[in-house]
Amino acid sequence: MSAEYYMDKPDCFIKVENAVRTYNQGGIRVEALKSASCRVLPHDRIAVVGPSGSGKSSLLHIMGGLDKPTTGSVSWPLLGGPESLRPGRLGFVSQTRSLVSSLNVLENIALPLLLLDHDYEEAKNTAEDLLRIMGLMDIANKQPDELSGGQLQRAAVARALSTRPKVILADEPTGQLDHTTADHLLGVLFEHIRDTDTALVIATHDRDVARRMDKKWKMQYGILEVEAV
Amino acid sequence: MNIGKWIKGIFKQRSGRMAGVIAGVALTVSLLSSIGSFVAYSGATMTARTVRDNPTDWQVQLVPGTDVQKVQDAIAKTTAYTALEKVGYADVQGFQAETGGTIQTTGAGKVLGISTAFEKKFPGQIRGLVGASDGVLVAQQTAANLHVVPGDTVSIMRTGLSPVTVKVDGVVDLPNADSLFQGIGLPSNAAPQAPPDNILLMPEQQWHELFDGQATVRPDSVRMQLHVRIDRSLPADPNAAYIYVQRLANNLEAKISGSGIVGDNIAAKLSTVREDALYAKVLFLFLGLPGAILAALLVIFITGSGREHRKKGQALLRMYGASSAQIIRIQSVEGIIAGLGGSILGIGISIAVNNLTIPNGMSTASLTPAWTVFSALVGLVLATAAVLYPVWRDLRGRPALTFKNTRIYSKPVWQQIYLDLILLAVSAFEFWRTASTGYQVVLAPEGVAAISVNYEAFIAPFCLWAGGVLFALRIFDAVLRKGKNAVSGIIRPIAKRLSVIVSASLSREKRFVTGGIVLVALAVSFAVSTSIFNTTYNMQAGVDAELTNGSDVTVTGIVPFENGDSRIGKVKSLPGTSGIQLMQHRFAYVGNDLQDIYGIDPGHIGDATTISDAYFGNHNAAQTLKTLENYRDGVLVSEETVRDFQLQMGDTINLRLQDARDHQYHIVPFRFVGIVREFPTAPKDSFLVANAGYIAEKTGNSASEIMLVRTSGNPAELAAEVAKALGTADVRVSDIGSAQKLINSSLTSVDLHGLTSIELAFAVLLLAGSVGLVLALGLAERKRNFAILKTVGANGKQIDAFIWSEVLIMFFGGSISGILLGTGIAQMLVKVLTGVFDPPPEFLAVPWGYLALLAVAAVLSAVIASYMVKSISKRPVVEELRNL
Repeated sequence: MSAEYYMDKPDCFIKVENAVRTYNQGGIRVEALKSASCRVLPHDRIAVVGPSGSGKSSLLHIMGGLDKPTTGSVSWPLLGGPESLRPGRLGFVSQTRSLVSSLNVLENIALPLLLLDHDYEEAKNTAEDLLRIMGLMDIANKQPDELSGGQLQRAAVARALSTRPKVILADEPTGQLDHTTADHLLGVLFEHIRDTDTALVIATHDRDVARRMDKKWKMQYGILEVEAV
Repeated sequence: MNIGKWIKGIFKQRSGRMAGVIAGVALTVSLLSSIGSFVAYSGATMTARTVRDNPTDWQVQLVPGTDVQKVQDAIAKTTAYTALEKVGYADVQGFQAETGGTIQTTGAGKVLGISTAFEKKFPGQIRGLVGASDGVLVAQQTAANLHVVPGDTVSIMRTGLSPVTVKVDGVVDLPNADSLFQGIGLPSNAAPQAPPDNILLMPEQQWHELFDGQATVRPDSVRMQLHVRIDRSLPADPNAAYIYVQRLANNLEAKISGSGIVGDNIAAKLSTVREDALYAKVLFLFLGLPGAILAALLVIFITGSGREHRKKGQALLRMYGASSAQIIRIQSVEGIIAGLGGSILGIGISIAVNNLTIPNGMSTASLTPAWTVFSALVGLVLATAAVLYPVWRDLRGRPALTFKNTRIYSKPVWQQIYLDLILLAVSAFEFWRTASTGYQVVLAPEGVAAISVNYEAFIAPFCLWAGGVLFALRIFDAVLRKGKNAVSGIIRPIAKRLSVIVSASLSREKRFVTGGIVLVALAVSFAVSTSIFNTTYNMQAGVDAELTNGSDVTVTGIVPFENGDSRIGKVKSLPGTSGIQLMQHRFAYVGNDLQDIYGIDPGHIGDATTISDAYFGNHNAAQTLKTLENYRDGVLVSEETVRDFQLQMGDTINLRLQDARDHQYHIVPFRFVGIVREFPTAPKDSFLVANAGYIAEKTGNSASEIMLVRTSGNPAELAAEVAKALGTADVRVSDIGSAQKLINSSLTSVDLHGLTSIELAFAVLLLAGSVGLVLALGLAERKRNFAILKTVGANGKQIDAFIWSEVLIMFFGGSISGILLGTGIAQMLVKVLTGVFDPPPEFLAVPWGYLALLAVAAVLSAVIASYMVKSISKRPVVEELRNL
């Protein structure tokens, strides 16, 4: 299927059209994203692959409403405006250490629900369920700076799942995990969204991860090639 | 490593923190240099003023038969004197005068022989009141005793010779009678000699004609003195000046040994002033040093807030192979730059603050080089140490780059050993101990050149300060650790559903939050204690001046005020006059002791002057005056008299007062009804206060010598109006402001306005700086968390919940602790520095206006800091994520 196929689909979660993102770094213009057009549909399982610095993170930031394209556009037809994406409808897993350092793991996972004005006990119970599924109950009361990189990433994924979002954007979620743990993490992810229409977009280097996804988008030199798998 | 690149990197990457460190160092440096310079300057002013106001520096008493020229030559070799006069002193058995058909006789007295140039060479020694200013002059009290006026004759009853009669040319006041008639050569621990009650002055030639014969028959009754004004190029510091003049006098005594003894008036005056100067230094220590310490803590806090960034930098440097010594060398650059920058800025601030706050006092030139260099060095060492100490500590710890910590909470050692409670207990004990025995901060033992500060007096306020701060730290640490629910409840109005995790977040950040609370508490307590103390000090300086002057304006009648005197009506009708009271000032013999007695209307004396509780033995002015009013023959007596005469309340005391009808002293019975310690216009030693009506009835004289005038306007202006209305021929008018300048027996006479202004200005800066920097830097450290919160989906209000909760906890926690601590310290300072106050204050004066200004400054800086942090949190989240 061609890129045009995707562009023509009306009921999509995310719609990116001719997005370009440039930065000014010390007076030098850097084109992180030269050209990207894509759509994320319900039930999508997409792997965004490409070498480091190819623009994967920039694309995910734009898709997640964390950044705006310099030119082109991004919209979320089935999710609402950029202000209504997070927390709730869109879960984002950053590749960096993304837990709030002054909260423990349980509180970090409960955080999106609390931001959605849920009762603390309810948010806590949901967070505990997720920790149990992720096999992280023993670190529930630890603080981020007491955790390993792998534990941090799993906790970040758990947090992204806490609101049962329609779209999960994960930037290298298994980058610091061994094969078995990565496999388990993906298993949990898939299991969690199995009977839903939630779309999953993962930026990854890991071919095994990419292989488990339904679709693969390639990023090279800031240009996105969208193809159906 | 290229140091230049490193410096560039510091300014590029850590510009905010560097600016904070420089600002903190600048505050420390400017506070030290300003206050230090002020203390040096005020010391120099005190010396200069003492020297200027001292009419005669030396009174060299010659041994009979001494070659005067030889002594004069010795004086010339010792000091390049600017004035020297011979003065003859003759003891006489008394004076007698016949006026109005009655004969008045006095007890023993003195006759001085002075040259016509004396008054000109030693201005201030003789002040003409009535008649001529030369010829035969009678002292005011003697004239009153003899009832003589210019033109009358007085018989001098010479010792060993027949009486002689002289004609009075004028009546004079001798303001420095104490030193003029001092007992020269007495042991240093001897009680001071009271000046004679009866004094007459005459020209030198006439004196020789009358007393050379007495010198022959009774050589012990006639002495010759040389009065000298020395070369007044003295050291600026009062203590150094005192030691200098004392050694100079010793040198002269050695030169003229056997020919004369030196009465060292200038050393005696400087001795008092050096004590006051030392008090000023103590004030600096008590009031200024906490501010400097606070500024230093602020620097340490700011450098500490960048610890995580620095640790990562260090870890990377080590990975690249840098040795510990190299890392320390590189990091020291940051400290040196901050130290130099802060010192230069601090000196600039000092100049600006001094010029702004003391427009007519200190100038840029008054920043002393010694204090400026010292302060700059402190700034340099402080900045370098604040940067290098944590670096050195970290280098001794974990060697490599690591992000994983293990958190095991352990109480700090001071909490484990209850250091805070121990310090508070020590403070309470020391306060109780020293307060019960009376504080003596400045020790000046008789006969010892050196004076010292009783540093034990510092223990109570210091322990309160340190213990109070640590106790606040313990309380807030416990509240944040164990009282999450309580904190959650407090912040719920702001944080709403997030209150539980915001409270948890505050708990995890408790090291920083409690540090911030303590800094805010220290800043608030510094500002509160300084301002309360200074306001109380200024209030007492006013009370002291009023006590000395009597009221806002005091009119002393050379011709006393009779009831219905037209002069009273004139003053009453002046605009600005809000109250008038007449007060008798007579003399009464208590046994053989002549004391001042004041006749008042107890029910109305308060209309024209402040009658403080501290003036009376029972510390109750209203009750004492009521008792006096109830007992027509009542009298208030000084403690000394009560002790000397073993008086019991209700005892009858027979005083001898001069009767106007026969000008003789007659016994008048009084009833002892209370103890008086101080009273407007009264001397510091023994005096009496009684009902004016009773004195008038018993002496046949209802006239009052003093008119106390209270004004609702400017005392100096009213004084000028009074002088204009009454003329200056038969009254003397003084106002509270001029009295303030004349007082030189206590520190409250020192114009500490400059010191006050400096301290209060710095208190505002420190408070605003502490609140602003602590909040801004601390919250800026959390920008990573704010970026994550935004990634998760927190909106502006939800991020505000985190920011404002922290701001409120720090601000209110710190402010409440600071107000309590500051008030306690101010109370203690007032008690510790009791010696400064005369009389001691009855209550602390709270400067509400200034405190409101402080509150506004603190709130503004907190709000500005919060908005700065909010602006940081509004940056594009991707930008922050890339930096994570």
